[in-house]
Amino acid sequence: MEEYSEEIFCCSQWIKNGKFEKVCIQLPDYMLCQSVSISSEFERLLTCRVYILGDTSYGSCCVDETAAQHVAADCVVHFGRSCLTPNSHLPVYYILPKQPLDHVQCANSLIKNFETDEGLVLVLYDVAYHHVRDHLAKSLTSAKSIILSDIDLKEQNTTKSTVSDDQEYTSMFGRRFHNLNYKNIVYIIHDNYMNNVDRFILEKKECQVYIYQNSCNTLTQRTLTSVIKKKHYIKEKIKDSTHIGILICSLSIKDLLERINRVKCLCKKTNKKCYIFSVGRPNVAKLANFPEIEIFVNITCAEGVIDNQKEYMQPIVNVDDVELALGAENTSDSPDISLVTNKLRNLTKPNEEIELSSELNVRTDMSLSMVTQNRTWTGLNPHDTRPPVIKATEGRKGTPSSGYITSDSDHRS
Amino acid sequence: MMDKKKNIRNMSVIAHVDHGKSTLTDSLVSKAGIIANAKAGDMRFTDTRKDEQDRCITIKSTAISMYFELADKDLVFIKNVDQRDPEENGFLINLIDSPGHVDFSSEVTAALRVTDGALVVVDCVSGVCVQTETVLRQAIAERIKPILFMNKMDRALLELQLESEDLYQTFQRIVENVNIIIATYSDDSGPMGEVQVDPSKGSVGFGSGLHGWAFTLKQFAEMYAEKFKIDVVKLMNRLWGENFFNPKTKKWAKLKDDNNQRSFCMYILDPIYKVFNSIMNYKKDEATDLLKKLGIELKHEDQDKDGKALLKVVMRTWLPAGEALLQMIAIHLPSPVVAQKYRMEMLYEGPHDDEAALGVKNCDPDAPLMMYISKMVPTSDKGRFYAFGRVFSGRVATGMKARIMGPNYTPGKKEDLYEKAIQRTILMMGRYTEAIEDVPCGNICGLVGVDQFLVKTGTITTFKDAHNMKVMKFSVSPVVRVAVEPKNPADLPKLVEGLKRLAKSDPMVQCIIEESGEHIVAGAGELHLEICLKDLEEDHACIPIKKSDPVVSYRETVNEESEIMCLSKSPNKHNRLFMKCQPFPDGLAEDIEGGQVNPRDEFKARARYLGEKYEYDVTEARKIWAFGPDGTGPNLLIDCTKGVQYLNEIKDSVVAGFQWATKEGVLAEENMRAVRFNIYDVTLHADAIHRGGGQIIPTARRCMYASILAAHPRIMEPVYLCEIQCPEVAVGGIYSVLNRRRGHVFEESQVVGTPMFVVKAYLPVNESFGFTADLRSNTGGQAFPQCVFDHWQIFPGDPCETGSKPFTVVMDTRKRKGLKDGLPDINSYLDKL
Repeated sequence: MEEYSEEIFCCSQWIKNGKFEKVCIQLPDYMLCQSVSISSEFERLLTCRVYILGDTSYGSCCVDETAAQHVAADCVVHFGRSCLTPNSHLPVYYILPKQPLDHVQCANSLIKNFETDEGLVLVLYDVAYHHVRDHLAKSLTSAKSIILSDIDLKEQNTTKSTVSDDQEYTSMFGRRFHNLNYKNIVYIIHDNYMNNVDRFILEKKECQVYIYQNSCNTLTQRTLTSVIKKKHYIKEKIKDSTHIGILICSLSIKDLLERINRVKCLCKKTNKKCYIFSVGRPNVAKLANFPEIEIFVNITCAEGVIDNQKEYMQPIVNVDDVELALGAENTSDSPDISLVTNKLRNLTKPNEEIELSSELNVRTDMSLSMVTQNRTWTGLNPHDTRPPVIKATEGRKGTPSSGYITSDSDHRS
Repeated sequence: MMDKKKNIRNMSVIAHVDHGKSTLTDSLVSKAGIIANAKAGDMRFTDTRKDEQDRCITIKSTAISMYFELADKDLVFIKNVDQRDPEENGFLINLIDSPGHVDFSSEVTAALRVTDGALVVVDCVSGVCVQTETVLRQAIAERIKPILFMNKMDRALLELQLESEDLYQTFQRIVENVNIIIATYSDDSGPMGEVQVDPSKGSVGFGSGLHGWAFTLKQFAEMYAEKFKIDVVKLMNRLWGENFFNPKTKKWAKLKDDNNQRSFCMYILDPIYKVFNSIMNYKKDEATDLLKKLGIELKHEDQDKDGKALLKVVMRTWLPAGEALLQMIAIHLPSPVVAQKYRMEMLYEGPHDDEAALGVKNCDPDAPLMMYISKMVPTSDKGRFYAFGRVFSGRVATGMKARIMGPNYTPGKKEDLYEKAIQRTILMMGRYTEAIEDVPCGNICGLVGVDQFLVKTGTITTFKDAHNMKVMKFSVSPVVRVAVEPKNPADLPKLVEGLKRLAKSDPMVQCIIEESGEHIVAGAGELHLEICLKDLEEDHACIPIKKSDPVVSYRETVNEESEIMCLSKSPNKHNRLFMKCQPFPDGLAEDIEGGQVNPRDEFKARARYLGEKYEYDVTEARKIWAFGPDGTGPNLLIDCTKGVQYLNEIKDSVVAGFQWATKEGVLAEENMRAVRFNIYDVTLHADAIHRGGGQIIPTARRCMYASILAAHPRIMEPVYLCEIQCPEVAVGGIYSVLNRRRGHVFEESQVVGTPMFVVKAYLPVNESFGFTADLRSNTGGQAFPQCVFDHWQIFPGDPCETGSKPFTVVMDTRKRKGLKDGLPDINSYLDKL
């Protein structure tokens, strides 16, 4: 709690300036125990109501706007690790976690490593090290070729060194840096959070990317050959599939709808059927309820990657993979061979299949229900085959020795 | 000519590698006037590729259509009215020369499918070899009628210097061996009629393809018929077998005595021996005398030749190979009219009385079109192919619209079905093609413009309700794999495109991408892969390629029944599955792969079969829920529960879990093989929503993984059957090489009448890389192996024991696939009650 007192003070200033009335503070699970002290601190500094958001429906790195909207909040204060994905509606104040970093040692090893290298080096760092950025910048001033990035926190310019938006700066994946031709990138990572690193590797293909680990003071190069290779397989899989599930794993991304629509549009173009699934935080059991879906497209923030992928029945891919597989090419109208099954992919356009006739035809290719018809269990039988229920009628009378009388005849038998 | 379907012969030439198929084919090609007579035997016209010429080995099967006329005196031998048009002397022979090396057997299979007869060539020095048997077996299974040709007689005479009686014995033995093989897979009372080969009937030829001479007993019988005043047919019977002639008493006998001689030796071999002796020993006068006697007139320019060159010319003039072969083919091989009658039921998947079936059966050019595409032949236009196949019914014409059905097409559905126009129909003439207006049934031809809609094979028809023609069954499987990648990473799209083309161009090769992203090319053997990769690099992708060392794919299995009853709970803890697994009895996995036991069987009949053959409990065997992986694989899921409520409801989910688990085994995510999973008990939540697929599918998979780990999991590796021919001195070397490579010899025998030995051994495919070279260097180049995939075998050792060989295999595979290090722990799949 004490470690954040300064930030909480700055934040309360920000809230006052913004004239926000209802404030939500969002805490990751491990900080929930401090929620009372944090909220009372806010209430002490501010006059407005403070709501605590815990147990976020998706990852705790994303701002839970939906929950905030339940109380019609005006702004959210986000604690803990953040993926810094731009969100759609509410103003957000990030209070980032703090992890110790030996900045002198780090700066030295960077300088030493790149002293013979002519090219420019861009230094990126994990959000947990943001609190030591200024110290690190100072330690690195001697090396002219090493340029330290900043974290892109939009409205809350906490560091004094960076100034307003001008042409020289680019923002990428929550980082801001000088727009220069870098040869190398060093990413100071914390605790194996690699997702953001990997995004930079994939985006800045011309650069060599190194990761620096504070715990062991080592600088190692990171390549994604195996990841990229796997993407080739994913690409083939996507091309093979006919039923694609769009899995919504975050609601607060700025361009959520655009992304969903893009996937839908790509599916339509390639004559695939897509379905939208919103199952909260996905797990194996939830997704296995849809065995007919061949691929799930995960629409999520940068860090919302599903880790135990192998336990899932279907591959879970992201929008970029779909774009890669279904976008651009595929202009030829002749079918293509799948490299997964070695069979032809059926690319016939739906309008081609409808025969011109006045009769009613059943569309066979369109719905998931066609696929589920392959299941042997189709629910309880609605057509009961047992004899129908009838009212009780009078039976036979009598005894075995005297014979019986049935209602419609008096004849004794 | 193509319309005279009774005068068509579709035939393939099949044999063991190096028995002289392509060389012999030359004789026919030269008779048809396509190549010069003198070049025949050296040119190997049907080996159209440069590497085929360089290596002296056929790689791709090549088709050629030829026209011949048969003399009137020979026509009388054709008795069946369906074998000849009464007004026509000409015959159209569509011949397919196929490769002999086992690695290319798939080409043979594709060739057999579109032909009705097969010329089986046997080197009379080495006799019937493993590949002779394999291809012959396949031919019989496809209902292809064989005729036999004993090749390389020149070697028997010149190199081995066999006595005439010994040579007769050799021939006799080969005929017997061939007939034994034929009898094993068919008998003369079957639908094909007589299939056995018999020299006295003229269905066996003798000669030398290299020297271009050949004969059947018919030729000699004709020579002597006049002299003896006996009917040719009667004489042919006398010239083979236990028939002896005493020249002094002029009496025939059935037994050998001092004064008589075997007729075959006396009348056939003796003259040939004399010609050989006189010419090879440079006895000019004797030779001239002999030539006069035999009525051989040499051309002026040939008269100065001597030795081998003269011998060639003499023999070729005396007994021209093309003539003998042509007669054998025309008289003894069936016309499409005859053959399609009995082949239809083997070829057509649909009902045997629909329009398509009847069209095929009657070889009716007015019936709807039915054509089977057996392979794709690359064109000069990169990436495009001729679809090569046989018209079985109706006629195919340039510009006509047809339905193109791939192997996954099912009538009534639209999957794997295209309706397109056929751009062009062409005739394949070895290295040339010739455009043609239309092709009636009974013929072999190529199509332009349908290649994009087929991968390797397919059916082309105009009949809306037609079913597919049956897919071909290959005798080899793609067990050897290499990973390929472009030298320049930017070329990857080209590689992918090239792989797709390669997948089309070869009937057997598989080009796939693995989950790890590696591009894999899988083939039947090292040589096959070598050729495929060369094609990929030079013709299909046109980029430099890096290739990994060859690897094999493995299978996962179990050794015993699970030691404990395995329980897994669903994620919500409300559903429990109790399972065990056990290995298959020997032979069941092969039965499933061979289709004798399959998911489409009637369940009661299948249960009875399993009960009788494998002692499976019949009530349990009736409750087979699924085959897997892919719904057809060699693993079973059996319901052994008693009275479980809602069980039907979760069947689909358990089956889905089973398919998943058998596709990606627990050890290294390889396919599973020969494992039976038994479900013993299930407890389910009373509310349907809590026992849905999401709860059951992952649980079923976990439970199966646990039961495998509790049942002594094992790795299976593919094993080659390896046949090695060599002289006796080299046998020791073979043993030492095999021992080093975990191979074991199970048969060793001498080829009777020769100094050659045949060693048969089982050799793990994994140990076979570089085997040929190793063998050669250890035997002074005298041993030559033929390896063909035979079966799967448990890799000796426990993969769960650190340091064992299978453990290394598992770890390597896991590493290659990017899986977690170390073996999976049973406790992560097992739950406590």
